[in-house]
Amino acid sequence: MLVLTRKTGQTITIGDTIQIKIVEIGNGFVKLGIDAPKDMPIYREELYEKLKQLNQESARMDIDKLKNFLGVKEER
Amino acid sequence: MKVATTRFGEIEIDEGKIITFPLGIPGFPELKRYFLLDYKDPIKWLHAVDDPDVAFIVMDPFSLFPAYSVDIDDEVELFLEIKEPTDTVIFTILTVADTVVTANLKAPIIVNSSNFKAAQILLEDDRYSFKVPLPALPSKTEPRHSETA
Repeated sequence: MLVLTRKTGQTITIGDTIQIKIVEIGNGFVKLGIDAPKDMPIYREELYEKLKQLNQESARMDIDKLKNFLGVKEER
Repeated sequence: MKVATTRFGEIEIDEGKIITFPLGIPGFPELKRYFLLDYKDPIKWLHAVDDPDVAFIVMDPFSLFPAYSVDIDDEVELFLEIKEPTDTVIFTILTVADTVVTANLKAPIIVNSSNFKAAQILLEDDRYSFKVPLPALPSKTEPRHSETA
């Protein structure tokens, strides 16, 4: 991992297309401005991890539970 | 074309109606093609074309959450090539647990109905969470008891 130091207002460039600007540095936080191509979504990692986990759960729903919720009786 | 599904067996779908997620759906980056399967109004399944197991239960969020609003970034509009706001269709993914059904209002699915490109976006809006309990479903169709054959 590359570790480097930047001051407020300075920028990091990654490749030709990604720029990360240090907008503000506060007590225990840093505010970033990020420019990236539109096919590169930017997420806060903890939110993205949560979303992936929830999607994994949501994609494998048991159809019987849904039927139960909808009040659909088995047609057998 | 024919598609294999674990829940519904083999089904025939209209290739022209395949919805493409160029980036996949978070958690399933390799699955880009989905189709919508009407279930019981207002519920649909958003089913992966290329994995018989992967299917999301989705619905239009606005009928149950009238105050819900989705702010779509310019980047997303460009990415999905949305030209007319009326081309935008929004779904929320439901999660069914034993006693409660929740809607993921934090990360809606945005579909451009003119080119069938779609993406799941993460809203910055702190009012919405990943698991919002569902109020009772509106019974738009026939009453539930008439389901008994």
